[in-house]
Amino acid sequence: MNLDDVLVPLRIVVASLLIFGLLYQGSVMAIGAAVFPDQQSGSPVTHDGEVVGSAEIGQDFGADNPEYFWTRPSHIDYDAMTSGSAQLGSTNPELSERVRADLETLSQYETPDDEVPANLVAESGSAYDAHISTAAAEYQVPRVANQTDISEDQLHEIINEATEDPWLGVWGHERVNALELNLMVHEELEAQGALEDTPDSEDTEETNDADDS
Amino acid sequence: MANPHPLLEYTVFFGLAAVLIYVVGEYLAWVYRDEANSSHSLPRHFAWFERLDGVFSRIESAIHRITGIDPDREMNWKQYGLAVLVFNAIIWVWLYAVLFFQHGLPMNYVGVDGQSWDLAYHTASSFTTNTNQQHYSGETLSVFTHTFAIGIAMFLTPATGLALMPAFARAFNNEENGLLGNFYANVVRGAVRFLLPFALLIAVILMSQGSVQTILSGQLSANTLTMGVQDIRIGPHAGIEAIKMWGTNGGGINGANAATAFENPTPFSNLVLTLAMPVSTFCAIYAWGVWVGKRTHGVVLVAAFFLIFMALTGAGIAGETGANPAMDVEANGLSVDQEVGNMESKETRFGPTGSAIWGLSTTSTTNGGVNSMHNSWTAMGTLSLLFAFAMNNVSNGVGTGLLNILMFVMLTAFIGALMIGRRPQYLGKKLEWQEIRYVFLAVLWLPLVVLIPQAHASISSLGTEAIANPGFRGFSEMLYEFMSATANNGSGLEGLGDNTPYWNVVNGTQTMLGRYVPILAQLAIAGSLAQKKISPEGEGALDTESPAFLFLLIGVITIIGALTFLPALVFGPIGELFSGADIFLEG
Repeated sequence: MNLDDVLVPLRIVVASLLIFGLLYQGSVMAIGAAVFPDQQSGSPVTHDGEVVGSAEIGQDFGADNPEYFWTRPSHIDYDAMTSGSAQLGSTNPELSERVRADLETLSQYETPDDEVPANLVAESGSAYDAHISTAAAEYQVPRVANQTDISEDQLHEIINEATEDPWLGVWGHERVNALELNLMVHEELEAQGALEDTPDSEDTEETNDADDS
Repeated sequence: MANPHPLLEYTVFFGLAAVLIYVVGEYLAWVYRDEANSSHSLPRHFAWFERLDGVFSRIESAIHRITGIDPDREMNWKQYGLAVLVFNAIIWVWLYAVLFFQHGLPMNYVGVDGQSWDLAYHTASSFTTNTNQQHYSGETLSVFTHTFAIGIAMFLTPATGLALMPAFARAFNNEENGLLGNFYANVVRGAVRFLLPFALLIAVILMSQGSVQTILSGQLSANTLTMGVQDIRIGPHAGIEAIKMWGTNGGGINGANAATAFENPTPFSNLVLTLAMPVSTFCAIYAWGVWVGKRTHGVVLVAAFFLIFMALTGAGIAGETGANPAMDVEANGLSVDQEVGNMESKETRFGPTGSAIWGLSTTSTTNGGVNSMHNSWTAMGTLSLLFAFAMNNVSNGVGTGLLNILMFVMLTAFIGALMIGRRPQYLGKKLEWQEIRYVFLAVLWLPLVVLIPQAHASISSLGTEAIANPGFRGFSEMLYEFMSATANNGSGLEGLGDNTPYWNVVNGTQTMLGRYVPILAQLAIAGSLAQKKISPEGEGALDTESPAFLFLLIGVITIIGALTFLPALVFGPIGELFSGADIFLEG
């Protein structure tokens, strides 16, 4: 073994820092900034000139806000600085308990059917799924209509507008972007003058325990 | 528009995969045509590959000049193996240093801490061996660590795997010549021609779908409607995700991996990333046929492993489109409609089928990325995942995968020849004691390194205290972790409390044993075969291009996988399948 047997691989690793680190990541970033600036910067969603979220990251709409469409359960309360579901197995009694509690919450309001779409009571893998299924959105229409002055017909229309299709109809699932959906509800409420206290002023930032994988 | 039928998604996926394996396989065969000493000929409709040669050659010779590689300096198998070890040792040291000291390094935008000694040992070992098993949540690494440590290993470790393939092809193309080529030139060639272009392409596709990409910031803040300020972790997601999926890496920026939308934003991105897993590994099996001058043999090998992959995926879809037994509950007159399948820990946009196909793709290769949390899968689905492990991840990793499946192929050729009373040989080289003993070592290494620690962890509180879910599932969690480490996969039944010195040291050591022992055995085989004469295949010899060989091969793989791991699988998913559901129906 001579010196070159160590120096050559060492130089390859150092060159890699430049090529596969800086150049590769930098050029992907540059291409993104030029061609897909919105996505490259995190798909921010703005309302009245303020960033209210990312189109790719779900937010917590739940029992405290019956006037909005609820999103999926999340044991980390949609903390997007971490991620990951509670990893409850399909034979774990804790999962049954959680689902039962969520069903009880849902049953406090009017429901169109005794069969709740699985999407509404199942936690997502990321724990901040941006979407709910169309069935899950439709299921909530009676409650949202009742809690707001928006008609059911109009809510169906809003859901329709926020719905995204499977890829070419052959791959993936139909879903509704929950932030987009709730933003339309929010704008409707604003137009009705129903939001004198803006809800965000009374909330404080939530602190969540970090999750380990 | 309604959701597509699972069978439609299944057909679309495997149809596209088959076409891409052929195209990319021809491309990869072209990349290493000379390094493999092959009599390669490019099909006419792929003649345009040649036009890429100029640009790539210029990049490669520039890298050779800067780093001092002499491509004409050929190595024998011992020098080749030493080069693999030294190169990987340097990567390991760099990773360990960055992980341990990342709190003091620049670009630490969100203020993460350095890793503990044992966690850094596990992480460095895991990423150096192309395993990417994570005992931390991805968000606890800084943008610097992702860009300059993790991201680098994601190119260099699959390149290590790629560089082994042409060396192994020489075992059969060399006539009484033990030289296998230059390892470093092969690394550079694989990284420049195979990894970089596809990673760039996939990264751009990901951004078009919604992936974030920045190395200048780590956090985005939003003033939400109902939950106050939401801080969102951002970083070089598109760039890392692309090479993570193309190089059978698997360790994401987010703990929830490709379940998060910044890593995998839409059904289309999900299709592209899912395809990347089998295409980047199966293409090498196809290329093998080209290198050894028998395209039909390559197709037979691809078909054998592809059929296993398809069968396991079918079982996985059957499991996940079924109901989750723990969600079969009732409260205040409401129950759950599970028509769509098991949605727990799955994303709405992928659905159970897209999640199941991904799950079996990640375990039928050694990728290890996930787009749903496997610990919430049904017993049937989990069984299909663990069975893919039992077969050493079917097509295994980029580069190393080809060598691992060739161990099964040589074993089949050996057994087949003995069955028909012929002298065992494969591709004109006689298989004798000095090769077959290494074949057996490589094939039996996985159960050996997995099952002994599994036995210990099952009876020691060091192991059992980490378990997250009760019953059979807990045993599966440990078995999955050991298999995933040793097979260099990296996924897990997460939830297992594995960031302890016990798990970090055992799993970290397993990743290295599982990677380097087979590699050295395979190089030894190559060195020994390369020095042999090529003897013409006689009348009535075992025909490696026949359907009979295909089914014999499937039989050998299934029997070895099933026999060695069946007892362990009974204590895990099989036990859960037959016993688990009942206890929950009463509530």
